[in-house]
Amino acid sequence: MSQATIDADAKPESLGVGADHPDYLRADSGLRSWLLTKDHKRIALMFYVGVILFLGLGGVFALVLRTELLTPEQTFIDANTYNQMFTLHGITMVWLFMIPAIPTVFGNFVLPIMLGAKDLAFPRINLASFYVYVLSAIILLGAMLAGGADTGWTFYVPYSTTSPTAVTWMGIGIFVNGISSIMTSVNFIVTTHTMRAKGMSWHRMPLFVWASYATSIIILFATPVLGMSLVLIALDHALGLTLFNPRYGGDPVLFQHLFWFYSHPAVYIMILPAFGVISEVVCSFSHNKPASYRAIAYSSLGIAFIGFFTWGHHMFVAGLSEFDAGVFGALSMFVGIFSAIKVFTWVATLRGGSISFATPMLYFLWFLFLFVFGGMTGVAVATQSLDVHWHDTYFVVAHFHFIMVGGTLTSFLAGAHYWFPKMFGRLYDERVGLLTSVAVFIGFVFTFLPQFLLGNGGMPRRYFTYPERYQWLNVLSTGGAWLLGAGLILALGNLLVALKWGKRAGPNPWGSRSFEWITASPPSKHNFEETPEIERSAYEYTLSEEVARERAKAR
Amino acid sequence: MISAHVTTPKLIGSWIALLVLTFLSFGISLLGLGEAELFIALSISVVKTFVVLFIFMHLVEQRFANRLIVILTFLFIALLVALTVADPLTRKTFPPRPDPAANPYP
Repeated sequence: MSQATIDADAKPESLGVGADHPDYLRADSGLRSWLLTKDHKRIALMFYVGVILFLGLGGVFALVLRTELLTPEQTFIDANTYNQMFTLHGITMVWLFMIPAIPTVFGNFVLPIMLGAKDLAFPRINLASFYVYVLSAIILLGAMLAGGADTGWTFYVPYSTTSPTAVTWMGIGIFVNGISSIMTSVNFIVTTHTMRAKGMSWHRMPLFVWASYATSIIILFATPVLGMSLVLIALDHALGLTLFNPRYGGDPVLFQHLFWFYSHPAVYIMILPAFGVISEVVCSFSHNKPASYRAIAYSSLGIAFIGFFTWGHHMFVAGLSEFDAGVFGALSMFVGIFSAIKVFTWVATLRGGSISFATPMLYFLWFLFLFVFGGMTGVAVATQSLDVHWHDTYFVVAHFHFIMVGGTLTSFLAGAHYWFPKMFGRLYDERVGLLTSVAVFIGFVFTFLPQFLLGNGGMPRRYFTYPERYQWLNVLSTGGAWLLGAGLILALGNLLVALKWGKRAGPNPWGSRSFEWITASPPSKHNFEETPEIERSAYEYTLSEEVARERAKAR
Repeated sequence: MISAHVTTPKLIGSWIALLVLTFLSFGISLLGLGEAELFIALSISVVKTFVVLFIFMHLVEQRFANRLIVILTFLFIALLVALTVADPLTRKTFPPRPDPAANPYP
């Protein structure tokens, strides 16, 4: 095969680069070839199976606790089981689904192809990160079976140091999970720095790469602090070190400082890759270059940076000093600026574009609504006087679900549909895709919009029983949760059916100009037989191939 | 572009510096300086960390961009410590917080 040249003037090869070689799914066969693979695409698929399983498990925990809250008194589980359910839901969703989901699945799969590379910089570390993730999942599942945890995913002291549940093992599981995150992030950073194809300058990289890069930086800086904090909790729980006990000179608020120094940036670890997916989707489906490439790219770095200065806003009513609360409240507002830059740029990208409403584009619209709604309520809860009223109520639960789930889950689904033809070489059923997308959105809004009203009306989070006047909103929320669950199962079913019976996809079914679409669907084992030369940006939609060829002749 | 090399004399010099700093921190602990002791001990540790990073881990040979990452890491730790320590130092609530030492828990 001749060397692949990715430029505006070249007519894409009809079957994509590498089509005359066996694709990565068929290049090797046998279980061993999967378990010991160093191919970033196969590792991405193994992660895909893992994160979907844990999305399902976390979803089951959520449905159990939402069903329990259907009635004001006990419905079908006891109070201790309820405490376990919200803790396990949080731990499973945060560490086993949301943090790894987009980077390890879509990041692993498309990032090297977007850069014109044959693999990530450290393929063995990539495989190891998968097994470390599995190990962490085994430890966490073992801890769930051997007593679970009832502290909430935040492990606040003093309760977490005295809880009779398996807090120590939960802490160890999350610590091991952090190692997997760090492995992935090191791989992404080094790959972005050193493996870009010739001609791929930083400002030609697809925006998904910028988002993954910014995420990796946060993971690298913040995860060790979480690891350290949870080791302290595990040691305190196992050996009674009383590290945070005021009686021995400790301070329980110190744990919250340490925990949120990681866990607030962790929110951006979850949402920044989502921004990357959305940037790709909005450009591909409006067939337009981003209104401002640099605004989107640099605001990712801006969020990564400012995200480290805001952790104290979780502690406004925990005894934080008024000085610190003022500083953190003001700094938290800055995140809104960078987020708004992104939102306005995405919307402006639609202007003048040729928009096609496929399923990923619909998820983009849901994302936009949920993210802006969640973001604006975030600015509200960053205001101290309001937070005193809303703290630890369902208002906060609704806010962070709008941001984290509404943002991350919708963009995960957008990515799952958008890159499906590339990953598996098949097209899913568009009508079912659109319908399930609507079900997910309506289910989501019915689940969490009532929770804003519940919180504002004074219903605290994590309570087993509640006064009867809150019941109708809880019934709406539980109904929404079941609809959301059904929508997700149908969306998964649609993709699974398409794996076998979907129509065959060409190399570029969406007409995107991003670089991963130049390869065959599915890509060959080594993506490109020879490293391509990049001669245009990833969003070059203005030149038709005919005009481009004419210009090339004129040159 | 490599601007400096870690040579054997430099390694030995750094090793001696680390030993001197270790004995220094031990010696200062014997002086009974009270609260200042912690600050001095941590400062000495920071200096030792940078010696290890730049000489033994060859960071001095690296491009500025790579050195910047390590400096940024240090600044992030400084950020964590600064805003966390600022909290108890500026806790002036009304009514005054009861002193746990004066009223220990039963």
